[in-house]
Amino acid sequence: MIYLDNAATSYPKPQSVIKAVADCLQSYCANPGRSGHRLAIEAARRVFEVRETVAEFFNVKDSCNVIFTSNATMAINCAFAAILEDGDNVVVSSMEHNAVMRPLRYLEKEGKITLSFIKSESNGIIKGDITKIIQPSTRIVVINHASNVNGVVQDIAKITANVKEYNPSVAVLIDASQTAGVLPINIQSIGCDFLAFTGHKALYGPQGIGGLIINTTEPLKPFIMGGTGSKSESQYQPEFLPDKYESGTLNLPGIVGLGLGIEYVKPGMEKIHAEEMKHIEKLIECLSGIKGITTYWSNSFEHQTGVISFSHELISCSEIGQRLNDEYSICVRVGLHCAPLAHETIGSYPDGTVRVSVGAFTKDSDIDAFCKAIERIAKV
Amino acid sequence: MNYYILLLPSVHDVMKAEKILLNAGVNLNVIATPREISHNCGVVIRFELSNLNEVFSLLSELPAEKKIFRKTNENMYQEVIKE
Repeated sequence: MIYLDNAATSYPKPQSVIKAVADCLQSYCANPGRSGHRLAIEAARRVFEVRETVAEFFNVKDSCNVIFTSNATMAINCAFAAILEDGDNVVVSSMEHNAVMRPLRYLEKEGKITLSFIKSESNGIIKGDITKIIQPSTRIVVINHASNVNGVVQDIAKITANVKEYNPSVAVLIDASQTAGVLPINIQSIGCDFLAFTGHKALYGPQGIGGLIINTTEPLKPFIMGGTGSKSESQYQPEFLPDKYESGTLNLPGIVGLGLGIEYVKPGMEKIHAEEMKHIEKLIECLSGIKGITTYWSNSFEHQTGVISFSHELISCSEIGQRLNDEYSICVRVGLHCAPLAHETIGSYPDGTVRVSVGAFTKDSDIDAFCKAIERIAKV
Repeated sequence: MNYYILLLPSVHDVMKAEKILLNAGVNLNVIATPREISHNCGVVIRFELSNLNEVFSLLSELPAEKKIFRKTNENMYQEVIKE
């Protein structure tokens, strides 16, 4: 089996992650911080350690600003719940995933917010001054760091600086689902207010763990309320972090796995990315040489992650995906990738594309096998 | 046995304080919060009487609200420092 669907979730996971999750479930999987017995204290200690690991990884000043969620989608929903009020305007890039679009379209449909869209090049890259569309009522700008459809990377530091120079009170949310663990992310130098990440993609953790990093001192509304283990005498949500934004039993095995995933990827991030770019280069070369195939990517390795898309003028993406699976045991993802807006932007809506996404465990021979397979399938 | 109890708002603060104090070689235990000092269902740090000044100094930069109690007799806790 050849797995080329790492943009959906990375597979396989490092052995260190697998062992740590199993060890947690077997040895100390109590409720972190909810009791004073040794297992609960050990569980709380592990949560704290991983929170510190995440903070260091993204250069967050104080680890209490790392809020664990179940995934990036939840983190994005939480950021909107924390900041948006009726009458606000929200500015989004044209490459957003439905994790951003669906909560915003819901609020728009309810008449609570208005939406504005940043124009981009046909490959999705944002160029020029984006502040022209910022209105007095704009509360937040949302930027997808890298597309899950064509791997295009946005210059988030430049865009954030552009927004903040124009109006420092406009918040910036970065969706780093496809880049956390791929590209270095320093939240202090970027200057964004929120960063949403997931643990199960390029951070090589298990599914069900992600986070929202809060990098603002602006007053925010709590978005999930309940038991925290603190202030138990009060029926009101605590005001201190992380408890203000984090209620209910945490996903301890997921958190532990995320910590080990970060430890795995951190020392070799640059090398892994360079390898992935070699694979992408080879894929582009192979796909560009096949008659009838259109490729979708940034057209520049400087603005690219290990994700590309393609379509064939005569064979549907679903048929290609099915044949890759059935005849060659190659796993890719086809369709619209939960990102219809991004597909509209790059011109592949509504038919969608075949997406190929590489990871740290992708081998040269996997790419060779894929290229041979697609050459045969494309012979109509 | 007499000792001090350090009460902090969240479990996160307790874990942070524990790390700072353990790195400095302070002898401590993390224990369940005694009901006499707080009704939260979390944990506190117990440390020896001789370490009060050191603990206070080591945690001076921890932004969380700190309360220290001295346990004098069984189930008798006297607050000594509040920030």
